[in-house]
Amino acid sequence: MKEFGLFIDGEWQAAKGGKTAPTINPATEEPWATVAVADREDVRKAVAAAKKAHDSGVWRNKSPQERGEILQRVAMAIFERQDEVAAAEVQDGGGTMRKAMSMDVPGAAQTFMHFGQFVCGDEYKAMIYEEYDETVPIPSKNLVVREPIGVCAGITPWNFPLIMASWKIAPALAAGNCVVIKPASVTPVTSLMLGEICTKAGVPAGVVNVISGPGGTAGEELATSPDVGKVAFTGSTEVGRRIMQLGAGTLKKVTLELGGKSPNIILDDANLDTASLGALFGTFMHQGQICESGTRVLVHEKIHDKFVEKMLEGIKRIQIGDTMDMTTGMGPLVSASQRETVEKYVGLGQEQGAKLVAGGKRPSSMGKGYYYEPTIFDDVDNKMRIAQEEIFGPVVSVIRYKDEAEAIRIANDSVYGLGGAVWSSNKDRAVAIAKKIDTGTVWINDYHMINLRFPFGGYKQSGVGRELGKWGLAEYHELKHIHVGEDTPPEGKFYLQLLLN
Amino acid sequence: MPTIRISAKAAEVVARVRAERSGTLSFTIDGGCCEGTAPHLFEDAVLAGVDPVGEVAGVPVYLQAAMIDPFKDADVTIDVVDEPMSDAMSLETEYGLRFVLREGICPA
Repeated sequence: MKEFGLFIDGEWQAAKGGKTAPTINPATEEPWATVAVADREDVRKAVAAAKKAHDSGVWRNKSPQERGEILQRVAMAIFERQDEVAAAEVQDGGGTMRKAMSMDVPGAAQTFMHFGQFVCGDEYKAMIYEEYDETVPIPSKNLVVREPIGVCAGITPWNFPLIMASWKIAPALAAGNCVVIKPASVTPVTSLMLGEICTKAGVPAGVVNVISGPGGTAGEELATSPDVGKVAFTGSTEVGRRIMQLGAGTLKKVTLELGGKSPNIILDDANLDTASLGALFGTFMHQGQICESGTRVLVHEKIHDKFVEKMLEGIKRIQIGDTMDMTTGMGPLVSASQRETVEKYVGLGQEQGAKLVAGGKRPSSMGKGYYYEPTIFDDVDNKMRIAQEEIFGPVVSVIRYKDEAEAIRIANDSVYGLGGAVWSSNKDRAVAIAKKIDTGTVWINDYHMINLRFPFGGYKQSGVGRELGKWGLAEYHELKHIHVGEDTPPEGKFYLQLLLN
Repeated sequence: MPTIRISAKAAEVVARVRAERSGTLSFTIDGGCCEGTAPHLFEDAVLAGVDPVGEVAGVPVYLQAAMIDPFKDADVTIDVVDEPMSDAMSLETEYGLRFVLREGICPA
């Protein structure tokens, strides 16, 4: 069995109390690695290491160009260890090897490459240094500069551990900050590996620290530490709300990327072959354990029957199986408790009158592992609990609508506002609808196509702030105005008359 | 109004938390990414100006506003399970436990 410590100050360390916990492979239900469990004291040590590194200037005083080049080396180093990293991601979280090799590893590497390249360029130069000559209220030159915040904490979920850690580390480091990352307790391994990869690729010791530990102690310590300037959290809405409350004590900057119940709207002029498969991809990719999954498929009544028929045809092409087999499209859910949650909601859907047309059970083909069949509910009313609550599993609700106005009303009748899509052969019509949907991302004729260059985050209770792109990068900076006044005798300072006679 | 109950085992955990904490306790039921809808026990929580929908083990239970309608006919029981590595910030996680929501009356 593999063993992992805490990655603090550039080296592997045991937890102070010597505590470790096994991490379970969801496909075999067996432990495959043990990981050190941080308590509050270990977290304080990691924060102290980050603070020391920040205060020393070893990272913040490097030019953006120098930092960017190191981040690009991190990207290459991730690719160099891709087989090992991908295998760990699959064993920790239960995703497929197919996804790990085509999404997780390249997605993580590209995140470092993107932010590394961005801070080397002119656009970043213009973003962190602006100059304005002013005459009022007094002649002055004005500099608006962006500076790193200091120590940033990243708390990440179990669905995309490697990519989520990269989304926190890469922009934070690009901006000159130091980080402490706390991955989800059930999927800590690839984040810990990433700490080591960063250090070996040239990121100085203490700049990236990764610790695994429970949310109630390790997470709370990060959210309350006076030495942490910002917390970036991805996870559940209730925990996000709690982090904001805990951060209030020290007035931390907080960005939150939370739950969703995203609408996937199929217009009557959509290409039904593509849209039906897109709807399956939008809900069953990674067993539906993606925050922006299009879990409410809104279908125009005119095309409804044909569309559902095509979904049922398409679902046969999803192969459940061994996660290491490259032909497997769907692996297990992350844990036994996650599968129990899914089963509870499938029961609720049936009780409340939704029509189960596919799935709704554990696959008989898999003896072990937390597998669950891709499940479609038809004739769902948006008021039903399966349409209002985030299930975070392979369950999709098909909801009929009569006209565009009704589709928009249903789409927005949710406390969440993270993602969504519109499928149509008329792009102008689709864009007009996209503008009326209250979510942070709307795809047209695509799904899950997150682009590192553009902002990602939520309206309403799906979050605060944005990640990715120059907008996400801006959130890792403090903004400073430097007023450069003229060096004159007292007569040149008119405001002195406001006080002096 | 929903019916909200608590299992005997979960009530014992609440009593343990109360013995060790001095602040005001409250349960909130809310959903979101990664955990589905789940109960959380917090100390001195800031709540969104809503009235409690019930009380269990002497602790008021709050629903986030958006949950009130879907839950109006719900009959749920707050129970507790072993979960050594929970990432919820609910107070029982300190003991390696996690409150869960069960539909209907909990057998144990």
